[in-house]
Amino acid sequence: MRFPMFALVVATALTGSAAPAIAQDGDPREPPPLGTPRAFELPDLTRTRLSNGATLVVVPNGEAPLVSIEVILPGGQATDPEGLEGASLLTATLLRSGTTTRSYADIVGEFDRLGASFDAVADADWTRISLVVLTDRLDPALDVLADVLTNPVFPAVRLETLRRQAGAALATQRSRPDALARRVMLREVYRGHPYGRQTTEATLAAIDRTSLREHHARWYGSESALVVVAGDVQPLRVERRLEEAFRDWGGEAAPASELPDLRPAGRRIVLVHVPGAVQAEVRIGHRLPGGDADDWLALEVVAHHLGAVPTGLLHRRLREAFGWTYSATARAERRVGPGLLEVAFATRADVAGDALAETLRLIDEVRSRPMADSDMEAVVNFLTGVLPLRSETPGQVADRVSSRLLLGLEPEDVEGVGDRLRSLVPGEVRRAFADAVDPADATVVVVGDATTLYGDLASFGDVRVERPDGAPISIEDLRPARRSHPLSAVDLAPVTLRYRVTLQGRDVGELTREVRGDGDERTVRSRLALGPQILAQSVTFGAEEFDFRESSMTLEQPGVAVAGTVRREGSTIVGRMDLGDGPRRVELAVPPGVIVSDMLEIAVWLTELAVGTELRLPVASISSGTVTNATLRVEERTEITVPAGTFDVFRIEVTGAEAQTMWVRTTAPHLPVRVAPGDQPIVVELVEIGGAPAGLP
Amino acid sequence: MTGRGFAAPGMPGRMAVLAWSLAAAVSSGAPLRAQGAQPPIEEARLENGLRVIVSPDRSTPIVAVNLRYGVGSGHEAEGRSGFAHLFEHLVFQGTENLADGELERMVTEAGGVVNGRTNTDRTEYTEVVPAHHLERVLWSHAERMRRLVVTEEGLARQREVVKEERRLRVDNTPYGEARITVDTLAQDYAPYGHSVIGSMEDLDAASVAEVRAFHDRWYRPANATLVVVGDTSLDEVLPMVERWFGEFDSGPEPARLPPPPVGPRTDGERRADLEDPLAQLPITYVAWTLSPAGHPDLPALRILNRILASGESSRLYRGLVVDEGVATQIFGQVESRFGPGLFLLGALSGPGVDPAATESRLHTVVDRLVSYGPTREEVERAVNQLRAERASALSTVAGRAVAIQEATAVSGDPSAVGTGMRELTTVDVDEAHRVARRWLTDDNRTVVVARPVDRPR
Repeated sequence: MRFPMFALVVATALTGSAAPAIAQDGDPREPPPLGTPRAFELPDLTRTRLSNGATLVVVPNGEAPLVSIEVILPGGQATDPEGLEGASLLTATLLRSGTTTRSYADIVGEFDRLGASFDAVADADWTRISLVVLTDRLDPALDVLADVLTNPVFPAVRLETLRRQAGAALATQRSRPDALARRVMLREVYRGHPYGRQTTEATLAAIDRTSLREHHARWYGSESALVVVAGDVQPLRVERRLEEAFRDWGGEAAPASELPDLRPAGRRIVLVHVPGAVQAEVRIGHRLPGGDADDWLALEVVAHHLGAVPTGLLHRRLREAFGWTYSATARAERRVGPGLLEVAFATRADVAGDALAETLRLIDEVRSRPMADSDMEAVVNFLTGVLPLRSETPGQVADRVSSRLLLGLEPEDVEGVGDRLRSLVPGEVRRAFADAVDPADATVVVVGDATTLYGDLASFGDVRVERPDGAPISIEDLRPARRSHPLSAVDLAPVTLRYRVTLQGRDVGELTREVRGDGDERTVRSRLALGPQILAQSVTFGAEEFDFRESSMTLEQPGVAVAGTVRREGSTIVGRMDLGDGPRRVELAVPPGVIVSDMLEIAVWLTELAVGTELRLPVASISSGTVTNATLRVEERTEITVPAGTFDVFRIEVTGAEAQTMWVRTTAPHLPVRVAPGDQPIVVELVEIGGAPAGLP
Repeated sequence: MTGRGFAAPGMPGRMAVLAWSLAAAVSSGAPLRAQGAQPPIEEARLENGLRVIVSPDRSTPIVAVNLRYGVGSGHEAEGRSGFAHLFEHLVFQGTENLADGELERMVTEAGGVVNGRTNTDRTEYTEVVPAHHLERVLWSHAERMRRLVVTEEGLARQREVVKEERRLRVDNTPYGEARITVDTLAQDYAPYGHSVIGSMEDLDAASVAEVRAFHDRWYRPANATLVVVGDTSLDEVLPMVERWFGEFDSGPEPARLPPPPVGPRTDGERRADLEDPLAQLPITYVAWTLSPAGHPDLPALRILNRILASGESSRLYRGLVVDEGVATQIFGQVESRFGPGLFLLGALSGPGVDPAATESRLHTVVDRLVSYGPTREEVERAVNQLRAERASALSTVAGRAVAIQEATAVSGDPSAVGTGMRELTTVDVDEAHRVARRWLTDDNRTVVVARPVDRPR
């Protein structure tokens, strides 16, 4: 056993080759002058056409014993047929799952054995298949690459596995505020455009082996492919080797894909509600011109000025001046079709509105005022200085070359980019940005707790509130309201109600509800028997104010034990519960007038009702730890028959919390005669009023 | 704070890049270039103790400058948690001759990048810049080392930024808390008892005077190692370093952390079951506590981790994802540090899969490896993967600078960056089997399961 680090620091301090001190000749108050810039050129590239029609670009570079090969094909996610979104991605990810001569295990085993990284993905415009491998393992790896590219069989079992994984990835995406915010932003910015279509569980389910074979036949032909090889290679040798490896790869040119323009659509604001989220994840998106537009260099300059870390305006203001965020960025994403300006930051909920206002103000500032010469110079220095830094590894060089070629542009030499950057003037740059971007047309997406964020966002325009799965919700249902009606249970008399529970007309269980109590408290006990499952609940509330005091529940079911007890302490509900996965503490802050779900029905008994009456009150859900408003609206007066007889009833629709339909007696107390819960296919109908309280817990 | 961070399951497979970066090149037979040759090393030490290591590479006109201080969260006294990491932020706030934000501006306007990282053992700052900016960057390090200015206002602001960072990386990231729990639960080494990012209470309570005293104690030449990689040489670097650092006092002798425990734990499995309100799917982390960096069993442990969890032909991927469908993602990592390290495996359960099923299957796969050992082909595969990964990590000047720092920290000898690969290639099937039996025991195991919060109506 050694304790290396510190022991050796001390040891070498005694023996190390200390250099003699030289006279201090630098004045620390001034940064030392820069040295002489050294020339840098991208390595020479050779471009040829393989005999199967594919374009081959070879860029020898770097000292590392690595080769990077990228095969780029024109079928990206924007080419997925409607309803089959995800087909391009599944085709790419299934390539390694089996060929006519190699099994899935053979392929991944071979790549892993060679230490090769193989990847295949589809972005909006392209499918990209990449291989990075040690130089001395290139030959065998290339044979496997050629095989998966040309002879995939898309085995059904693997399709199922990958479909399941893609579904899990969607779930993960929805659980990550940053990924969720970006997904919603892309959907909104590109609404109505092929770039806006998104993979969902439903589209994944619709994709079958035929869709994959069709995608492969249509888009994987060699004629339209671009192959970029970079790293530790010699062009002639690699060309010979590829000719040999790709000799069986053929196919027609891919169809030309048409990407429509995007029209301005006004400001859209989407608030994705994640209850209890401690942060607001903010994205601002705006469409940009297509990738071949002349203005792109200018747009990149402004995006950098706005959103580079740490010199950009957003970072300087949002992080350094206000401490509102850890990081704020802006970037311009170039695509074949309309590009994207994306601003991203996460911040505390209480300053989200301020941070958004400041961001929109900064965007407006850069479009209305030319950049200062010093800022312009700084950005141009960065963009030219960064060229060698981003051309270090084989993969970086390959990307650099391919990204230009794919937009139909010639690869640029370093001198050329530098010259073009230096020729830009602030007025021109501002005009290009102002022509492309208008804050009034920006899409704003915020992921966070809507109950705290909504007010601030509403000052920027109409806000759509939705759940992480995209389903719209009303902010009114999330904002804990005061009760719309005063409620008192002083006159609530003891009663026992017996109901039957049916599923598609069949009896499946029984519900008994009993009201008891005197003095200043009332208690409602319920017992629901559904097959082998018995749910017993009890809730106690104050008679005078109909205020929640305590409740308990137990669920007995073979193999499952669920139990909980909670009580009100001031403005908090506290207690413990175990939903079958271990006990946990409950601590939920609640507004005045809050009830729990078992009191909802009693609230109806106690309210004076007529058609059109709307009752609104906050309901705490102990299991989910949220408070949501329930809105009860009397929709009509009608007559229904249940086992207990025929009744004159009001039909009440409950929305927000505890969504359900209730039919209650028109005479007070308005006892429920029939209840149809919104989330289960069962119906509860009154059998008997009165009766003995026996059998209740 | 990247030293301990791999919370997200979205990025398996890439995480071990730095963890094994002390391992390096050269095995028998193959040409030097194909093996990733030993990077050239030149070194010197100033009288005040500052160690200077240069690795010239003339292929691209850029340099990476990496200055590492021997202070991490493990050196923090009680009530001072989060101090080491706080400086990752404070050093950019201004020095006597660099205004607030000026340092980052200076580097990035040159097209360069600047980064700070803290873990339990050390704090390091890396810049990559065009080569003609080298001296200016060295000067900025001298400013940060001895002429830092900490103001009340600057401290208050950076506290807020750190809190946002914690919310971003831990509180608002699925599995963030679970990953930190694995670290603290798996070992009893007191210096590693709190997280790198620290407690908000300690940071709130920190006075400017305390923060200045912390800096004065640790940011000293004798507690620092400077590595420069790229288009330069020691002949060029040394006069610059003398010019800007030569006048500084060496400072107190660097403090050692107390000796960490050796050998696998024998006190039994530890476990934690957490609820994660941000998670959509359950995650299962299974970790074994390791001895510190430099332990001779580490090369074999890296190989075993690969065999279990790297790539689609790995045992866990085949067993849990392909055959049984009880997981959708698998990941693995060997974390080695001055104190106890971790052999970590993780699995993300599929929708509707009970994490207990995922965990049970994971144990079965590991037990089988422990009982019967790996195959020759598996060991060969793992070594090839580690070679390729190392070549990739060393293909950038910044990656090489980090690897040289790691090699120096572990063995004291920067040229060890070129010898670690040999250790890997000497691991055979029997050695791997012996190491698996020694370390991957039930008594040395820590299990952390984080599941989504149930939301029944």
